[in-house]
Amino acid sequence: MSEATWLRWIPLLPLGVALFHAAFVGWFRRSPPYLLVAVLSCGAVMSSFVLSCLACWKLVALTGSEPAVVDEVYTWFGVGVGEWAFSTDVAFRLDPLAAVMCLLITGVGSVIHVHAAGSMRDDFREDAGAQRFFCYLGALTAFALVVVLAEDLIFLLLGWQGVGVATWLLVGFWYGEARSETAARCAFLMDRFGDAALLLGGFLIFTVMAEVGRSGFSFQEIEIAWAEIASALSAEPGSSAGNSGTLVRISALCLLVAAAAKSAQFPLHVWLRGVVEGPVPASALIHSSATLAMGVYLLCRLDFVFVSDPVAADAVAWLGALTALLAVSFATTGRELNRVLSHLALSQVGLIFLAFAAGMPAASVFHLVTCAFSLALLFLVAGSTIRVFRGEREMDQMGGLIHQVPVLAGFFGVGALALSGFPALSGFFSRDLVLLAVANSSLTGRAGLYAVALIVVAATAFSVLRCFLRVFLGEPERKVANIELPRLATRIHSHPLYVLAFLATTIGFLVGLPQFWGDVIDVQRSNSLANFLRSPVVDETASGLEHWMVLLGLSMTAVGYGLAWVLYVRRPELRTTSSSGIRAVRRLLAEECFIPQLYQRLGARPFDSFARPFVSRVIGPHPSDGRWVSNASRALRLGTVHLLKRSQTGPLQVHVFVVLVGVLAVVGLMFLRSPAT
Amino acid sequence: MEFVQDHLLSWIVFLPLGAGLVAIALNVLLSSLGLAGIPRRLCGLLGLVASTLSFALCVQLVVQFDATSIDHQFVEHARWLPELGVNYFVGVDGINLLLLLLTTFLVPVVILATWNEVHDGNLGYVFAILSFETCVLGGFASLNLVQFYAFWELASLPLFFLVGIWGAERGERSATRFALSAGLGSLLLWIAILLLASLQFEQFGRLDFDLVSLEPGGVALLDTTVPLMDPAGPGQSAFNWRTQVWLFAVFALAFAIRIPLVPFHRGLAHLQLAAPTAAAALVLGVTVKLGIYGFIRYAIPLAPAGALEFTPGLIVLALVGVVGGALVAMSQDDLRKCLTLIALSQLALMTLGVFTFNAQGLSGSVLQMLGHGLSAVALVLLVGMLRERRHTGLISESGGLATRMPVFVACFGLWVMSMLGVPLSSGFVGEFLILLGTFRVHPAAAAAALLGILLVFAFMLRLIGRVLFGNEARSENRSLVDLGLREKVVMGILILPVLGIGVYPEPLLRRIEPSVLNWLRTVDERSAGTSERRQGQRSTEGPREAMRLAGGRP
Repeated sequence: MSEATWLRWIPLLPLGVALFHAAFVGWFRRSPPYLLVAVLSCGAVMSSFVLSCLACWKLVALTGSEPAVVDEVYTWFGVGVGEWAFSTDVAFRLDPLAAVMCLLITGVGSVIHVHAAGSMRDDFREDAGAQRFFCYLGALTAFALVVVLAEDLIFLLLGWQGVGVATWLLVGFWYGEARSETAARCAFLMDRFGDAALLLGGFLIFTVMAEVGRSGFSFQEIEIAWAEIASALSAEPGSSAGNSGTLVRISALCLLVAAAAKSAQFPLHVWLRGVVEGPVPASALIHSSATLAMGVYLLCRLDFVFVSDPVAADAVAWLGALTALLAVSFATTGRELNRVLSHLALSQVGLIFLAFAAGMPAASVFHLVTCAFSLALLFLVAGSTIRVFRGEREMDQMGGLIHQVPVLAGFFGVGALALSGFPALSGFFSRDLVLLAVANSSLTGRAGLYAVALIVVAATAFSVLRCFLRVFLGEPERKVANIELPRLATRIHSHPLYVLAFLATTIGFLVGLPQFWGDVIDVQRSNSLANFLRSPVVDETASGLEHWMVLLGLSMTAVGYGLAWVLYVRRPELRTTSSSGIRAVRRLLAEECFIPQLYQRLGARPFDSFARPFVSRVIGPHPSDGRWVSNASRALRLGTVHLLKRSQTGPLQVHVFVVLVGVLAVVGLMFLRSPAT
Repeated sequence: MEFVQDHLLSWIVFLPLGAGLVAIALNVLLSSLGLAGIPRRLCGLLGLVASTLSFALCVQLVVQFDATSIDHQFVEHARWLPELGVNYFVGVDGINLLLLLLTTFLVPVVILATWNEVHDGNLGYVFAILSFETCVLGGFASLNLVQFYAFWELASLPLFFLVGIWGAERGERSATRFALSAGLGSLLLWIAILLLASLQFEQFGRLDFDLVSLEPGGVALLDTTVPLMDPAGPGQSAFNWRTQVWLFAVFALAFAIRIPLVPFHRGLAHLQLAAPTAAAALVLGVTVKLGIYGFIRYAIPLAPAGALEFTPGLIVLALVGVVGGALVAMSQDDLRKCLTLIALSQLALMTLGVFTFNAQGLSGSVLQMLGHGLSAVALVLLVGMLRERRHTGLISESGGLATRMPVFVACFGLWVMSMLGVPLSSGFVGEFLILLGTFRVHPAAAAAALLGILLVFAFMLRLIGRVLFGNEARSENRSLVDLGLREKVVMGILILPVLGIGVYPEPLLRRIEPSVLNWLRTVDERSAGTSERRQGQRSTEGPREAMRLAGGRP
């Protein structure tokens, strides 16, 4: 463990620049020169990247069982006495997992920032739009960095919710458009649901910790406490520890819900479909390394919670598999280019969940890294493509772009091949490890999970190639007059694409070559990422990659490619001559299994039509509210008048008689009340 | 200056009222001499200066406050009606310190924010606000129950005039209604005082309404034993342990009406609709906290066994408030009414925090009172700024403001986020502590509260969507002007402390915590013996607190 007081600047630089932008826009209502805004933002994220590299370098040099670079800033807050006391620090801790995520976020983040500086320049529709955009983008990067660097759960929660806020702002960036606004709201709401789950999970962890005599939310403490509980449970099952065993399981499920909300797993996946309504760089960042990756990170950070509990692991696995299957099937029939990419990203995250649950966190992180680069590349290229077609997103209307902008086609092709696992590109190696993890796992229904993973691999290859074929080959279905050619080669935003394309091609080979291939080229410990993460599981099983597994994975990819080739190039007429059954399935998939509509039916509509009027009638302040006061006082007034006027009969003797009775009554009372003595 | 230093708390409390009285005397003098009265602009300035001075003194108080002590500090005690046990007795501990700071901070900000309203009003208006401030401050600072009652009663008076005279068209009606329900609350509080008085008289033969006695051997409310058991033999005392239950019930009803918790919320909602912006802001930011403060300071310590008896019911009531407030807010069409109901939902959450009887819940509530005061006031002021421009606060009339008033929209969004407890704002820390405290005692209640918060959140998002974004529903909205310099300054002043508390709440919590632990110990001691009857209901942190105070943080 080593101290480094500069670690805090990794998240603080982007955050500071974002705050500067916010304050500037808020106060002056006009931007400083565009160049200044862009250079500040890009510079901050790039400096973070450099700092992350430095920190990693320092980390690699460390020895010991748990190497980490630590920076404790101050005590955030703490209350309580005894075992219920807790205090949480603003403290950053860079261990191997955090280092990988840090490099990923700042690396992809810098590339996307630079690309945005070039490509978004003419898109801001208002004075301070650029500054607003870079403020949000920087905030998203910064909060994601807080999540991965946080030392305890509460501080992580800060970043976690911050990521949600920034995602909301980015998706709703074009607030004037109703679609964008609705999508942003949906994303934020689901996200808050996840936050609530994380909070509950945190409370449960706190309770369990107090029961074993520990306190605090720091991840290391939690891990120790969990180990104690696990050993106590295994020593004497059914003892008093059984209660905390149940609590442990519930907390694991809460954490799973939180991760699922952030990573858009079924049934909380609906928010992701709206993200493409935001600016293109934003959706690239959200899909590749910021928001979607946070759920995966949470799981990996708390992997001991899931490893020790087979039920929780099964839940993660099946959730991931189901999401991957659903998302990829939506992708095979999707019509809008960026939405298809969004579904593809989601299906990869599903696979990552699956690999994690199978007991290979290192493999899941590796797949996350390789997919992040190819997905970022694909999203950015898709953005340029849509720009070329003047905002047209439907792939039916595109085609033949390879002749006009071959550079774009090249980039997209590289991204597509890398994502689908073309041999020797990055996705190839990570896909094999994911499949290996599932094959070797002890999950319930392992065969089914393996089959799902294979189908997802094939369908990914199919749909990503389908996009390429429809957009770049063939004839344009609708001639777009005067296609505006982005002068890619001369523009700043093409250089980042080269970087991404390079990494998407080689990152797998460079950092995560499985030992199976390492033996072929005679390199020891070739899977440097897994070794760096010191995942004990990988060392045993990485060599377990067998020829048949590699061949099976490869053949599934080939099947996907072949199907796409047949359907979209060789025999396109096959698509039109489909039976009614296939049409129904296609409609079902095109509507995304009607899940969004289901949400509308079950959630929003009953509320509007029933609950709201009911509530406003029964307990709400109502315009006629004050009436009972005036009615009561009027009734009182009328009633008294009515009674009293009866007594005003007129004759004098009656009055005198009443007075006499009164006097007698008073005197009598005085006698009665006087003491007996 | 030494004179000020010796009576710092009294200066803070009475400076606003004093300034107002001097101004009125001056005005009378001037007009009796046949001159024009004090010019209106000067009136506003006077209010601003007086309340700012009070705030400056309060800052000094916070600086001088000894965070390690559990005693009441800056204590001032003067005999007033000794036979009746009514004294002037003020003091500060960690629980009311922040409330005093909040009140003194908010009044100048509110005056600055509603400068046009102040300008349209006259000296009377300024005087009403200043005397209102004094009453609320007096309520927070009191350590004598009857004095607390007096300030609490008096606070309704300026409010009544503010709403009745300077409020909307049907202001008098709303003001009267509110005064009636407030009067009901006061009546109940008075009954509680009488009950306590007869108890005390039976035990000691004399009366003293001071909460604690300064000299040894004195009689004070906290020395009065409210019986926990039925008396040994019949006929010895008119009181049995039911007395404690009844005492708490009366207290609780009085304070619940004051907060107000959900069944009593309608009066406040109507008042808010009619009140001028300044009054609405101060009511929502400050006055409603008197109810929660009453629970903490009087109701629970004086009748802890009764409090434990009623805890489950009050928790349910608070949860109903959290969820119900959100639900009711959804069906409103007026922005300010909406915000009021959302604020009530959060007040219910703070009440929940108090009834957790542990350090996290209570500290969270106290901190949240501060943070919530800031964000609620800021939102009401923003709506006031919109009303000033559009002369309506209807949700259906607004929409698409983002294009015309970007700064307004940014502020609104920021404040909503802060109110919803997004990290880096004060709401996060408070809410987190309350929920953690609740979870420790009743996990299901914490889950339900989270659900309520989620509902509030869903609603606020919808509200933002309708008011700020979306289409421009009315053509009048096209000509709206964004916030001016004064309004931006106000927002800036309000934002800084909220961010400050969110980023570094420890200095405040350090001041709150010893008093909170002391409070828990008091409650624990006074409810000792109840544990046989109600196992598992007692607070558990009291005894450990002695250990902690002896040896620092364990």
